[in-house]
Amino acid sequence: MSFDFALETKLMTEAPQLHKLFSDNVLCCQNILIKYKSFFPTFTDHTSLHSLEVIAFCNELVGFMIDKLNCDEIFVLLMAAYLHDSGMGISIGDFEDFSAQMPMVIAYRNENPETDISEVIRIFHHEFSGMFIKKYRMIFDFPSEKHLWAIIQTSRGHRKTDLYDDAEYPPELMLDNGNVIHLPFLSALIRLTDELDVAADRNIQFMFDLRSLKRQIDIIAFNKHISIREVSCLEDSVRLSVDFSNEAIRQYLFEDFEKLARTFAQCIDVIDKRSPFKLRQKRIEVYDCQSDEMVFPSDAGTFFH
Amino acid sequence: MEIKLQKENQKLTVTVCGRLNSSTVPELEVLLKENMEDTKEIVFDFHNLEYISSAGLRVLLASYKKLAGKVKILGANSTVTDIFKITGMAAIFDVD
Repeated sequence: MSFDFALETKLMTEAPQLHKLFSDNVLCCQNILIKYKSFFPTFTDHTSLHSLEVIAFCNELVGFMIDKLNCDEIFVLLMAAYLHDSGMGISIGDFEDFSAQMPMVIAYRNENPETDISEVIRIFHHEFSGMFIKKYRMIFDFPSEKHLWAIIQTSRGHRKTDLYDDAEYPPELMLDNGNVIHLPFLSALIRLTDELDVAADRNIQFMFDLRSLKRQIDIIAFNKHISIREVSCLEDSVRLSVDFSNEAIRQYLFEDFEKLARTFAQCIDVIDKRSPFKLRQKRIEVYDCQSDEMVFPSDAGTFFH
Repeated sequence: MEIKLQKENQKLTVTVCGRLNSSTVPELEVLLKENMEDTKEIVFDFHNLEYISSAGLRVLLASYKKLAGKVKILGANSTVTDIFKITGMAAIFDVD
């Protein structure tokens, strides 16, 4: 069964005003997200194409649980899908403005004065996304300060933040209309679905010219994506079908599988312990698409303690 | 799914019949890549398109970005039009 567009459809059907706001912001985000190319011209795609894929994975993972999600939660999730990487394309002015307000960035730059601005942005982009959303909140016209905060936290939550922190991610955030937003669940979803967008279609063929890549790190990254032919959400697992014919990147692929498995295990644990939801999928499985043999089993318990 | 391409000057008309989803999109991607050079505008003829998934939308959006908005959609049925509306893409594409 396909859950394509389920979240968006429910939002449109049950909360048309929130959906209108979502639609307007989708249009707005087209130009916001493309700006990452100013700092990362050869980087993996971080435009709204990535957001669409994140939402598609959210739809698959939420599945039948959609009946338990209220429209405010859906709105927060969809907006975070679009805005979680907005920090990748901030202006130099915003970079200096935001950095001055972030002790961790100040400390990092003091300890690493030679580090390029683009690298600082890459390391802290989840936090810059939060700052960006907060600074430009009038553009997005969110329904309330609580919606704003929920979207900021969920967007920041796509990497590094502590999803077990009660202050940052309270299990239940009560809105004025009585609806509850389950921030740990939404943030874990964004973190996991962001990681799952690793297949070949992450970088749509005609958008990129591989001959333009000069840095080894970019060549490896693109070749890894090309090798991962498909990511599918099945009934009880997430399956990666991988072409291992490029031996030069095999080691890097398995490093990424390990990282994905760790993230998956962590997100399942957060969802299990800090929300009323349960993911159907319990593990990552990697298959060789030539032999159809499983080459990377992963148990949710293996990487987490 | 069946795809037909017709190029006139720098305008590419892509007629898609059937369903555009994750299993059929790769074929469209390859064809677009082969024909993107010297193309300044794309018209997607969707008169016989039954359904478009998020994978199909991504390719459309990528085309839109690649050609700086010179993408037109013709003949989308109500199911496809609803999907554009549901995903917030209706305001982006020129849908006829």
